[in-house]
Amino acid sequence: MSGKSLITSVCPHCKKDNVVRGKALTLAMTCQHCSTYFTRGNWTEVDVKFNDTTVPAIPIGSKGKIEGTTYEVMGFVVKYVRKYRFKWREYTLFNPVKGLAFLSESEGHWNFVKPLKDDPKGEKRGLSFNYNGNGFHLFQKYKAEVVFAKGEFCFDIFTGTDQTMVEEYIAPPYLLSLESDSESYRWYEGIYINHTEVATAFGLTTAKLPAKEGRGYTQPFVSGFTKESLMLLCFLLGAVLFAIQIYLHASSQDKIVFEQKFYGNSLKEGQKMFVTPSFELEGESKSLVMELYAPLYNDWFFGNFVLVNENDNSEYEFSKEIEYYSGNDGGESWSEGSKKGSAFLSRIPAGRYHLNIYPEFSFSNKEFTITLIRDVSNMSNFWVTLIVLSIFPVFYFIRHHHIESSRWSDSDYSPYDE
Amino acid sequence: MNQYHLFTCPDCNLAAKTKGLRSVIVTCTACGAVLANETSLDIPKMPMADDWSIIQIGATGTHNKKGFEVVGRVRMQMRKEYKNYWCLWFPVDMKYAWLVESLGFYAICTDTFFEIDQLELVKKIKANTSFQVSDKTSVTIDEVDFCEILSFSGEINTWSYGNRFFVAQGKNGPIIAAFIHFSAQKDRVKFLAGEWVPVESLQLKNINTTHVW
Repeated sequence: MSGKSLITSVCPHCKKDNVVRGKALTLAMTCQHCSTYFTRGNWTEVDVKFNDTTVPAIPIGSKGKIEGTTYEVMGFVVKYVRKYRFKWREYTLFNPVKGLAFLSESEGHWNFVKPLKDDPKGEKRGLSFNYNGNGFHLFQKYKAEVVFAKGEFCFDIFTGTDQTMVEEYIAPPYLLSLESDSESYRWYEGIYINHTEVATAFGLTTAKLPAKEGRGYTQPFVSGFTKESLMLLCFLLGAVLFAIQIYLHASSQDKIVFEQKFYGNSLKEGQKMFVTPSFELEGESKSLVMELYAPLYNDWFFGNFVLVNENDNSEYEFSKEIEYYSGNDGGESWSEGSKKGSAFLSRIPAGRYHLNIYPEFSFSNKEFTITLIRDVSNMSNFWVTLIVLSIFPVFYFIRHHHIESSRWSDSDYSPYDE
Repeated sequence: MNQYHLFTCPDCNLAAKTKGLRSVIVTCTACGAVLANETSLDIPKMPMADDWSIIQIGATGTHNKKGFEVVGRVRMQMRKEYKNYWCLWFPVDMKYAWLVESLGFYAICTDTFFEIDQLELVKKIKANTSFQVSDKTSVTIDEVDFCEILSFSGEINTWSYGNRFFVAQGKNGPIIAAFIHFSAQKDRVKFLAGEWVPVESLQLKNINTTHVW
C-alpha cells in the first residue's frame, strides 16, 4: 500500500516503531522487528509470540490481480484444526474499493474467498441447499486456532478465529463458508483457483508455491465438458440413433421370398440334404433373414445351411440350432429354449439363389419350416452402437463417482456415506 | 444552521462553507477543530483517521439518477472493523442521505435516524437473530460491534451518540440494510435504513486517487 501519511505503531514487546501500512484499517499486526503479534486498539491488549515460523509463499506487501482487481497481501495466518489435525494457510488481501478478500492454501490447493452480503442458506435447514444454480453440501464444521501470523489485520485474529464456528459448504469449484459467533454471522464465497493462476497473479513462479498434493476439497473434476453437457450429448446421440433405427425399420420391405415345410421322412435313402427351389432376391445388397421353426417338445433341431448364388456360384454358409424343453416341477410348470430361431445375413446382393439344407433330426422330431425374408431391419446394429456409445459416459460416471467419493472421504458429512 | 454558512477555522485558518440546510455539527476538514455543534454531545477536536477509504469530502456521485456531493463524515472505529457514515447532500432535492461504507461494502441510507422503543430487546441482540424495526419489518442481525472511537469531519446533518455505543448491522434480503445504534445511556434505539449498492453504480468522482490502485 502507499499513501500520503505515515502511521507508526510501537511494539509492546521490543518497543520499536513499526510502519503501519494499513493505517487506521490495521487493528492488529506483527512486529517487523521481533515478530510479536499485538493489537493496536487500546480496548484490547493482545501480545503473542509464536513458537512456529512459516515463510509466506506470497510475500506480505506484494500485489496481485485476481478477477480483475488488484489486491495487496496484508497479512498471513496459519490456522490449525485440532480435531482433524489439519493445517492451512490464509493470506489476507485488501483493495481500497473492493475491501477484503482471502487466499487460502492447503497442500498446494488454493481458494480465492470474498465476503458475501447475501445469506445463501437463509431459512433452509439440513446439510444441503441450492445457491446460484449450484447444489452445496456441508463439507466440514470446525473451530480453528491460529498457530502463526505475520503482517497486518483488520481485526484481532485470535478472537476472530478461536471463538468462531466455521461451516464450509462446497459445490466444486465453489465454496460457501459461514463464520458465526454471538456477535457475527458472516458468509464468504470462494472458488478454487489453480496454483499457476496464483503464481501469475503475483508475478511468482509455481516453484515458489507449495507443491500440489492429492486432490483439493474444492478442486473440480476436470473434463472437457460438464456432467450435464455429457448427459445432453448422450441423449442427443441416442435420439439420433433411435431415429435412424426407426427410419430403417420403416423403410425395410420385410418381403417373404421363400417359405416351405420340410419332413425328414421325405429324404430318400442316403440323401443328407434338401435343396430348395430357386428364388429371386431383388434390389441392391440387402439383408436376408432365415426364420426357422420346428414343432419341438423336449427336443432339438440343428441345421447347416448354404445359400447359393446361382449367378456366380458364391456361397453363404451358416448354421442354426433350436431346442425347447418344458415340464412340471413340484406343481410349477417351466420351459426353456424356443421352437423358433432366426439367422441374419447382411448385405446379400441381388440374384437368383437356392438354399442347401443339411438337417440333423432327433429321434422324435422329423419336420421343420424355413421362411426367408428379404430386407429386414436389424436391431442388433442399434444395440451394438448404443453399447459402444455408452462406454465413454459409463467410464466418465464411474471415474466421477470415484473422485467425488474420494474427495468426500475427508468429510464428516459425506453424501456418499448415506 | 442555514445553508452556505461561512466558517474560518480558528486553529488552521481554513475557510469552510456549509452546503447542506440543517448541519448540526461542522468540523474543520483539515485539522478536526469543531466549528459548530448544535448537539448536546461533547465533541473534542480530533483529526480524522486515514483508513484507505476511496471516498472523501468533496467527492460527487449519483444515486437514483440524482447527483450528490459528500459533505461530511462520521467515522466509527469499531472493535472488529470500522464504519464510515458519509453525509451526502442532494442539491436538487435539498436533502441529505447517508452513505455507509465499510471494507468494500456500500449502503445508501435515509437522511435521519428512525427511533424505536426496543431498548430491553436490543440489549439482548445477537448475530443471526431477527430484530423488529417496525410493525411490519424485521431484519436479521449480521454483526454486533462496539464503537470505541468516534470522529467527525465536515458537515453532519444529524447525530445523537457520543463515544461508546453499540452498532448492530442487519439485513432483510440481499438489498435492505439497517444500522441500529443503541447504548445503555440512551432510552431510545435509533437506526438507519437503506439499501446495499455496488460502488460502481454511484459513479463516484473526485475520489481519493492515492487510494486507487
